[in-house]
Amino acid sequence: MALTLDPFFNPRSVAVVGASADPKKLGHAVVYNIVTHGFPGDVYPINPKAEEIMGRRCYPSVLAVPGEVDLAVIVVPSQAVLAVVEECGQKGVGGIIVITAGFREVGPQGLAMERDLLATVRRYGMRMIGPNCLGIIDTFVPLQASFALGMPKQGGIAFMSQSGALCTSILDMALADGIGFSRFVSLGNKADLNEIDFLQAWGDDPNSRVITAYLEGIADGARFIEVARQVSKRKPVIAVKSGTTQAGSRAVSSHTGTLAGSERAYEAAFLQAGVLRATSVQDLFDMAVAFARQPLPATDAVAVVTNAGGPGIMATDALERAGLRLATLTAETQAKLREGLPPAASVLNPVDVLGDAMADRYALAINAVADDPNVGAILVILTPQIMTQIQETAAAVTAVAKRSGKPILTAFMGKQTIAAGERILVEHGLPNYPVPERAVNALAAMVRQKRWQERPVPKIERFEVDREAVAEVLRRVRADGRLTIGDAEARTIQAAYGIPFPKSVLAKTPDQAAAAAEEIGFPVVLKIASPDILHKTDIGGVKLNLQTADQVRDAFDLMVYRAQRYQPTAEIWGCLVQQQVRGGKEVLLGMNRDPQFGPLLVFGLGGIYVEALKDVTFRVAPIDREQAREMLSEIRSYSLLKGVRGEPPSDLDAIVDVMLRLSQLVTDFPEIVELDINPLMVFERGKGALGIDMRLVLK
Amino acid sequence: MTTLYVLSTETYSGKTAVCIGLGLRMREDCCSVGYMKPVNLSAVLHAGQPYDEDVVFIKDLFGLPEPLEVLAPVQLTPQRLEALLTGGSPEEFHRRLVEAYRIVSANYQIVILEGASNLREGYIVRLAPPQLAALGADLDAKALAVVRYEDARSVDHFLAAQARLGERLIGVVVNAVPGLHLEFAETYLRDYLESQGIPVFAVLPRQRLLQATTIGELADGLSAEILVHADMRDELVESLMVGAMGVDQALHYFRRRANKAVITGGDRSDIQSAALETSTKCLILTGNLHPSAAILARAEEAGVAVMLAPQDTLTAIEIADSYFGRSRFLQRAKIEAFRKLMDERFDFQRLYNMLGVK
Repeated sequence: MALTLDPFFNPRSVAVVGASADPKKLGHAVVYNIVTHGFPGDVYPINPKAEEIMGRRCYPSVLAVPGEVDLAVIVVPSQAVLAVVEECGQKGVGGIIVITAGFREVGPQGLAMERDLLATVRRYGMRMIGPNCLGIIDTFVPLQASFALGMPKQGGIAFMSQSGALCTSILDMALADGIGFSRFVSLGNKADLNEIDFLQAWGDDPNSRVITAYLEGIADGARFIEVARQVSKRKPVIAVKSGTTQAGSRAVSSHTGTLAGSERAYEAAFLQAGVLRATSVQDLFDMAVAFARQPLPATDAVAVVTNAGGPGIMATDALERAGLRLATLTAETQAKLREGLPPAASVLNPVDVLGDAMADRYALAINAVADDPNVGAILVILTPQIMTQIQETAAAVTAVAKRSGKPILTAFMGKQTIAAGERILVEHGLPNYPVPERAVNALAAMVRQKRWQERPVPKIERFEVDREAVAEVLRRVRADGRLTIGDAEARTIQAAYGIPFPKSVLAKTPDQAAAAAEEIGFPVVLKIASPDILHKTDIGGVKLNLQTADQVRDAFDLMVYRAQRYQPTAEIWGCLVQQQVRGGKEVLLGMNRDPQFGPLLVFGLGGIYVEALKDVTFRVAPIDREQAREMLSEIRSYSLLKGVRGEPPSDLDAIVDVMLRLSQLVTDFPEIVELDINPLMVFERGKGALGIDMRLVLK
Repeated sequence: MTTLYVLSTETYSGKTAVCIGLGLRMREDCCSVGYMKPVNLSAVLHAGQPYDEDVVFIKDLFGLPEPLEVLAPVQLTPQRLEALLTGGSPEEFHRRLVEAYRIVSANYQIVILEGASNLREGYIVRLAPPQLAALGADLDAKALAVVRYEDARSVDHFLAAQARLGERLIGVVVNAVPGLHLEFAETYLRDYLESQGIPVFAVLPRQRLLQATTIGELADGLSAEILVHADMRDELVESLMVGAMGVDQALHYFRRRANKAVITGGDRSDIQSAALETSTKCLILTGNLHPSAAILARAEEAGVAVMLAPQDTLTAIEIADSYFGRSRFLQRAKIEAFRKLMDERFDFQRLYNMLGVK
């Protein structure tokens, strides 16, 4: 179904149900905002007890309105909302915004009301924002259908927020800083429309150049990634995600009743979806203002022009930390600079035009670097010294920005005296930052966006596998009322998906185990086989390096005894006798299904590297070969796999192959919620890898 | 009229389950079935009278018209046992039992007697299982022993039952056999017992469901108030997990078990929401701390009961834990599951032949 949000962002008429003549009431604020901020269409206040509000004729109900109603904003008490929505449905209203609170967020009764509300909305084919929200703003219609104060300037930033209150503060800040918005939506309880819907709609909105969001949770992580991946190819998507710490996630759960989703999952998902992650609201707008009015840089090479050495050095540090480069200026540029600047000036990047620089010197330097083919972006730093021509310099920067086609960000540092210059910059769409680090941070986001847009779409490979064999194992486990799958059963799954494993046999008695060991060949490993015991080593359930049949018998006996003592309720099948594998490196591959984003793949070097150093990396499945390779190279201990000090390199292709098969397995079977291959033993290049131990947990 | 005496060697062996399973099936197959619990030394007082929940339940399930004092003629609480030591007459109990038995046995083709907790219980009233079985002409009961099988050491329980009951023992049920031993029990153990003159009517595997307790049982035990889904009191809870970790580990941990109860503090909304993401039957929130409204709404949506317990977490764990594996058998879901198991694995014809019915 094509999603049309026209009733919200292109309405011809708006009804405000619960409109009030009393300026202290929300029902008045909404009418006031719609009328005062110039909505060009018809406005119908609905209130059975009033004749007119703000000079508009009042109607007793939506049904009494003579013309069509595209959008209804509802501010009646929660008990009355359902009846109003029903009337809206009968009237043929397209979109409704339920500002009223008192639904899901107040408990089970509220949830029941919210369900009824949604059912009615769906029954009439309407769309709904809220309930429990602040409303929406569109500066281009213009429509200010919220109870927030004021109307922001027109601009290229679209903003949605899961916190209504935060909207009001941001609006206030934006008014002071002259930040322009295209659209503003308070998401509320997201009963119907959620962040994904707006993301999709705004992807096609020509007025919105950059999409920004404050999120506490995401409704459907997999779809979010899919939609964001497409939209972010066309325009930047920036999000602040709160509730990422332990305490923060508790706050999110308490606030929304849902699990916050792990921080690692968000990081991986945003990365794969091309969503730029902001750490704070300030960070979000630092990036957004840059994207809103500046072109993307062609390269990551930055030229810095400054009138002060110290800030130039700080900018340089920040560039390197952010993974950007100082541009190497061409000889020609250097010559131009040498000719135009005083001898004491630095003509190498950062270009120091010296403390006494007037606007002309800045103009010369900025023009020179703007014309340099080696320069992708420009950072202009200004400190207000006594002779500094702040406004003239600002004008000079804007002049270059107009013609150069390269992004120019400024750090006019200070407050009182630079304000006049800053105004000029902002008017011309040049974002100014109080310190160079923040400008660099925004530049880094622009470079990431550029790379993202150029990056090819992932191509997911499909291997030939035996899906039915896995389905059969899962069915059997389920029928047995179990959720966990240990080694013994996992072998079937490994075989079906081409994940190699060592020779192994399930034995039920000491004698069977000894016979199996003879057949496999000594030494062998013995492992307790129980669907209820997943951490075998904790209870002495793994014995390595067994050399004789008697050792195998003894180990079997002791292991089963221990397991029964440790967990009397555990079901024990016997022991798995397994070929002992030598001479490889241990890596860990796994998947943890995140409640919000789905299958989160993990990779790391095994043993202490995973446990003590947390040297692991994550992606949301399915991944392609390129992403699997990235995962390998992202871990800090990657060089150990590549081979250090004359050690032969490990079979990286074999790891990638298992990763991709694993990715396919967890994508094919959503009921698998956890999976670990630990360790995957990787041998020298060309010699493959073996999944020694695999365990799964089902939903 | 035939009397079948179902007894066990230790508590929680599945005696009540076998009584119910047999009774229901025999009524369908052949005959009218009565029920009695001759001796119960672990009764509790209810409105001043000794009371046995199992008997009340079975009376209702089988639709038995006899009054409770007839179905359970000798019921004693530990306090009344003390009184007995300081001067009382055990013969009185014998008389009471035989009288009740006459009433019941007159009405049915088969009377199932449910034995005491183990083979030793009841000597104090001269009515321990071996004595009761030996009542001969008065009762003429045929004994069936239910033994919970742990490993080969459990074989002694069968032999002990045979030694104590002698000819009265007509056979056994090998119950709750762990998966690892099932194959062994079905072959070698069965052959062995038969060779010792102990007929095996059934080898029944251990089933998780039968160890389960109910939300209602837990709520009552904890004196907890059910905040959401009070309609789920009869739902079975298969295991108990404690939520006292970080939220990342919580999900990993909670995913291990199905149909569980999760105990956690009322203020741990992160743990609560993690539990709601996994297969959970109820949340037990401790410390009388109310959860957030949003959590309650989510629980309602997810079909998970939420109860508020007054105890601290540690105490609540102790109380709740005591219900698992020792829960009463009195839930429809368990009865259904056990009947199915009996239908598949119990040799009814052999039993009927031995009892001389059908």
